Amino acid sequence: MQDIRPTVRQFILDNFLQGEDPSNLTDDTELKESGILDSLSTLKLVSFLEETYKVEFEANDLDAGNLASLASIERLVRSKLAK
Amino acid sequence: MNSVHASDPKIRADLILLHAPSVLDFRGRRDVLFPYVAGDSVAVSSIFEIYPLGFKSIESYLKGHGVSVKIINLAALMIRKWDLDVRAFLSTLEARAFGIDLHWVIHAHGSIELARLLKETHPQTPTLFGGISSTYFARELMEYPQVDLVLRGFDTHEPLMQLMKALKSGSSLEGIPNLLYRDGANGSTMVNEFSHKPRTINCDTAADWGPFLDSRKDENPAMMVLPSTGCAHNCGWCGGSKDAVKRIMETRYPVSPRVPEAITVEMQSMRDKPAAKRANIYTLNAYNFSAKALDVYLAGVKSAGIRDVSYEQFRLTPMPVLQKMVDAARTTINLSPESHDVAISKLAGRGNYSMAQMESWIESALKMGVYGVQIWFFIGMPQQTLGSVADTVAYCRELMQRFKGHRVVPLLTPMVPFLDPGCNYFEHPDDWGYKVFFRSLEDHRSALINPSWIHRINYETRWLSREQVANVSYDAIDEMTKAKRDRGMLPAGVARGLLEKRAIEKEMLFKISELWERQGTEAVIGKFGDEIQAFNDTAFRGGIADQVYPIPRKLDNRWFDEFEVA
Repeated sequence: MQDIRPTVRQFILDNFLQGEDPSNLTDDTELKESGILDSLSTLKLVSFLEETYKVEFEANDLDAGNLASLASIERLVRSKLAK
Repeated sequence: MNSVHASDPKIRADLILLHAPSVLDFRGRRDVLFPYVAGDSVAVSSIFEIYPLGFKSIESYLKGHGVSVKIINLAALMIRKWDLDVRAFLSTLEARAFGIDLHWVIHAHGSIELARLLKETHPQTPTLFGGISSTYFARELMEYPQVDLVLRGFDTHEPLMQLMKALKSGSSLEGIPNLLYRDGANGSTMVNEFSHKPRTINCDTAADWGPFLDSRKDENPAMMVLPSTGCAHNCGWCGGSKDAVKRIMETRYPVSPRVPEAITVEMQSMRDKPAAKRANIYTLNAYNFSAKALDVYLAGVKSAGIRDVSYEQFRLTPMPVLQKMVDAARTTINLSPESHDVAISKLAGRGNYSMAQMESWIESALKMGVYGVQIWFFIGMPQQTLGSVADTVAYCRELMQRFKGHRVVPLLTPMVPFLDPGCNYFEHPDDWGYKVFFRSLEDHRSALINPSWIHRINYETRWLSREQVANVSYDAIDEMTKAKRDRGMLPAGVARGLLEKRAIEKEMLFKISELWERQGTEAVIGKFGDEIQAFNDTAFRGGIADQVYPIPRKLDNRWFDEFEVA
């Protein structure tokens, strides 16, 4: 439960930022605005979150604000796990 | 971006260009179920709030010649400001002329109704129509009392400037090429010579993207660039295809390219704009670029620092060209074989590569650094049976499996609601196995307010009836959704929501369709009016989705969200 943020961070580095300097991806990096999370990568990331944390996300969970940064993604996952 | 506050007393320009929703008014309707089964490649709603790029070039050209122009995307405005009083809003406009696009016939209802409202609120101000469908239906358009003028042609910049000067001075309209107008004495339609058909599109028409980019402070702006008017290729359903352009525009030359200098000027308008670094450009008809013009475009992309560029490609892009694209920006390629079956693909006007060749090309493209590949398939093609559509879905499943983990996305959409008037299938339906239900502009205008989109479709094929097109589209797109879910390309919760919504929509569509056939519109309103209204409201007000990203969202980054009322 404690490892949500590093797990998501590693997934993004492995899948969307191959070859990039990992230190550039901080907790507050704007994932949407920076283009790291575009439409397809968002769907792929959310599919990964569903499988890893055994939760389900509906369309209205995927508001851009909920996926804006590693911190907000962690909040989203925790809110699902708490239900 | 134009931004006008509701409290502004007047919106003034010499020429106000307006883009209507496909149906006006679409809000609160209890008689028309609007949503079509699948979205387009561009994120737009089912009232098609995307206006022709020609509005932007007209704006640039006329401004450069001292004529003030404002663009009002009424369709986008009505979605964004749901309670907008359209009549009251239109009454705040003040112009020497109102220009309305009827480019694609999907706007037949909205554009004609918009002209009526403008004529009621501004009886002295002429209404002017332009675009491909306006050219095709020019004489019929003039039969509507609310239509005063039609400018035919694929390029109307110069005739429009002449028209604006004539309207200002009160001089005769007699010598203005491409124009249809009413004779003052007896009201009969005068048809001027259709003679303005330039071989190239010049620099002074280059769109100015600066104000749009300046207005996008946080969003990732989405723009669109065209290399030419017309097309060198011959897709059978398309009103902008080679044969259709020759037919509609009465020309021997189906393509009029933009001169490379025009592309340079347009790309320079994006330079030094912070938002360009977050922007994407959809390069429509990119296959019509000459080698030289493509080089100029790519230099402009690189120099402006554009982050993402998508290209529509007719053939499998040669690797040296692809390398240049990849060097310029993050590159997505859109292929559209239309069917996995090369015989059907050829009949659709494509078919210049096999699926094996395409897959091999995708491998090489990904290795070269292409960011993504989207592959579009169509339902409603010649010789395409129910079994053939099922085979396309099965092929898409294989494609997803082969490229699992990569950004390779097959997409499937029905050709609805209309074959474009002027295209080969529409003009010679028997040769291609089609039956065309609507011929005139009025036929299409009326069809757009049929309750179910099954009865809005203007064709059927020897192999698929309209009901079958609808039925197989829902089934096939559901199968695609499941396949994407199973391969981690679509979250399970999102897929479940899509499947549930589509099941409700399909059931309602067929019930409405069946009732309408037996008892007509009033019966539909009586039995399903509440459901239809609720469904439409959710679809329009809940945000906009497309096939690539089927999550409804509020969009304000699109280039055609040009006009806001605060």
